[in-house]
Amino acid sequence: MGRYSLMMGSEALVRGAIYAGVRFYSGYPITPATEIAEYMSQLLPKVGGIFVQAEDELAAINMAIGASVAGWKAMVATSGPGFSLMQEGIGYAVNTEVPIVIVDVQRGGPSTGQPTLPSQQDVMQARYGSHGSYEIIVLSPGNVQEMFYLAIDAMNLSEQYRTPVILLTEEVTAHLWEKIYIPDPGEYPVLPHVTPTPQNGEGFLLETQLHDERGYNVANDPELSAKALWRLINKIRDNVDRIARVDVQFNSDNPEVFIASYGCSARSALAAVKMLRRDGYRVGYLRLITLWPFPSQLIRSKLDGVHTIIVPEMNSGYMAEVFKTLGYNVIPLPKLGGEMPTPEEIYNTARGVLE
Amino acid sequence: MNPLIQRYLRSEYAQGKRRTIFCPGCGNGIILGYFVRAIDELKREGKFDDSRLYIVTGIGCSGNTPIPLKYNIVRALHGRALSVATGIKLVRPDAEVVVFAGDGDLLSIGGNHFIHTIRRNVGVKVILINNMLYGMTGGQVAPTTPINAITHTTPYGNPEPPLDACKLAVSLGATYVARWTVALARQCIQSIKELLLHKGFGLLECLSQCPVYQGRYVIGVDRPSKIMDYYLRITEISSEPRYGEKITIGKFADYEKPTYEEIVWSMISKVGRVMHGEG
Amino acid sequence: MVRAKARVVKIDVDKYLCKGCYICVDKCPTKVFEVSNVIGDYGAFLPEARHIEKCIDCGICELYCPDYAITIVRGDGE
Repeated sequence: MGRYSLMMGSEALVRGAIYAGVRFYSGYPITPATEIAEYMSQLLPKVGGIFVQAEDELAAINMAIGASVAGWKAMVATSGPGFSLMQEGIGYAVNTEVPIVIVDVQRGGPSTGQPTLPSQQDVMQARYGSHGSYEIIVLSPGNVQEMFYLAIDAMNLSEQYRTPVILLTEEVTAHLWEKIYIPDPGEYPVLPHVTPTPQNGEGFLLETQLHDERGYNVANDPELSAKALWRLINKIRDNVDRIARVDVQFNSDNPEVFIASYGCSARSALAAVKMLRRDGYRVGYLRLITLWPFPSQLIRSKLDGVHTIIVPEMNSGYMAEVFKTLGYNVIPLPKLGGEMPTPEEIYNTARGVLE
Repeated sequence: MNPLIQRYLRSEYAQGKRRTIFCPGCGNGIILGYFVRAIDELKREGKFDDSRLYIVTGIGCSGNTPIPLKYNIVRALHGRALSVATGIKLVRPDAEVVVFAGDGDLLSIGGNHFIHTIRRNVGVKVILINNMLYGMTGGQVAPTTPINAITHTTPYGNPEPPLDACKLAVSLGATYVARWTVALARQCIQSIKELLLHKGFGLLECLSQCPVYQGRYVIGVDRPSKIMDYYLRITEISSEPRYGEKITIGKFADYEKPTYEEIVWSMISKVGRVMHGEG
Repeated sequence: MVRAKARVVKIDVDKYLCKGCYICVDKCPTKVFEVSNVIGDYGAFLPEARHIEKCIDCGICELYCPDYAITIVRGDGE
């Protein structure tokens, strides 16, 4: 039986990562992710892990990839401007199939933006930030307990599918203090680390150009290149059912209107749904836990018969566009400026629709 | 195929099914041969265990130098080879980590990592293959191109003075710094051997040749061997690094000081001892 | 008794690997090599160690070859 503790989202994330076996962290100070680096610098050496403050985010992600290749689970954390710098490293990990977790504590952007205020503006960058065609797994924690558990899930997914996994959270969730449950070692599953393996008596060849299964470069052969790249893409696409997770509530009476959100905005969404239900309106609640790959099938199956979806989010309406592709009537509720959407705002919009 | 080199090649190369991508007369192939011979000599002297060898290599022609070898090879992004090597060395301080990179890769886009890896004294060994330009992309100017040189992006002459990698390394406190040319075979092989046995960061800058671009545009010769003659004319042995009209070669630094991985690991074990009440 | 080094019997040039850079031809101190009119697999005229009796076994051709195409073959002297 584990224990309960009151802690900040960043600390929960760090403790979850350490529970998952992360022993290498390289970072660079950036508001609002600096606490993650500071907690790591204190806690990692206590478990025999290594913390490095790198000279920039480019060095940070490349060091972490080197550490992962050499045999230790590795993680990096940053915010918007650093996340932009790390994109080449993310593409590197995708193409070389190195397991690594990248945490983006979103703040207002673009550019230096709003360093101390939350946003959800990086949801598309998390999916499409690096150049080239690729798939990636992105998780979005909704509370401090999920900062702990999704850190472990992210690392496990990364090992299982040999891909980088992005943990996308917001400044407000990282700085939020809540009571969480910390399981005992062995209580929550943790997958072992995978590294490139030498074969046939010779060392492994980790190549960044498109390559065949032995690592030899196939970039000049259109057929073999296509085969190599489709394999990487389908590695994720063929497993969406096993990867995707959503949290659906208040749907037992088949409401036709849903409020769908993710991360910190989903807390306001849930409060609004409860207010609407209290006032007699039939409305459901959907929270995306996996942002990418977008769980289209899962949503369609759980939201069968739904007509309208209201999507409150702290950006210019990115995920609302994605919900539209599923064929629903979507009411975007984009909010910029750095304040979370309030339950009242969502309530008022929803009531307008439901009447 | 030369049987000594063949023993160290990956299967497709050793079986004669695949050639290296180097142009005729390319310095990369020559340096690959020196590296193999250095390891072979050290192994026969019983001083080197190549089972723990990780090779990290950059992007570009020079980054392709070690690919035919049968060792663990990690290709890094352009300029980031030293960061990847640092990550590997920290996690596996017992491993031997050798970095192959070109002058543009290591000093231009990788300049920041060059500075900090040397500052930390990470125990990685760098073989900097300097052909004074960007070869893979077609012969563009690099930080090591001589001033006034003609290249594909300086058709009217290079307006920038070049960077002396060895001088920068020495001033940052690198504990082993040497520069030789590709024509000085025994010196290069000896230097690679010293590099592999050295404790801490080590840099061997090898003035190399790119007959297709450097030979034809920067130097103005039509045969690969004439680049070797060019180097014999413009280099002189010294204990101080200089890089201008004349380039000095030789060993510029060779001493020891605590390495980054030693300091980090001793700090971790100290934290562990304090935690377990061992003071 | 001092044992003499084995004499160089021949110098092989691998016709698949040789790219015709002719560093061996240019740099041999005693001009053992000449460019032949045999074309190798890469498309270049192959160098040939025609004047093997002039070879002083300095090893430069083998050391300098960028494509590990040269093998110096030694045997017992007479």
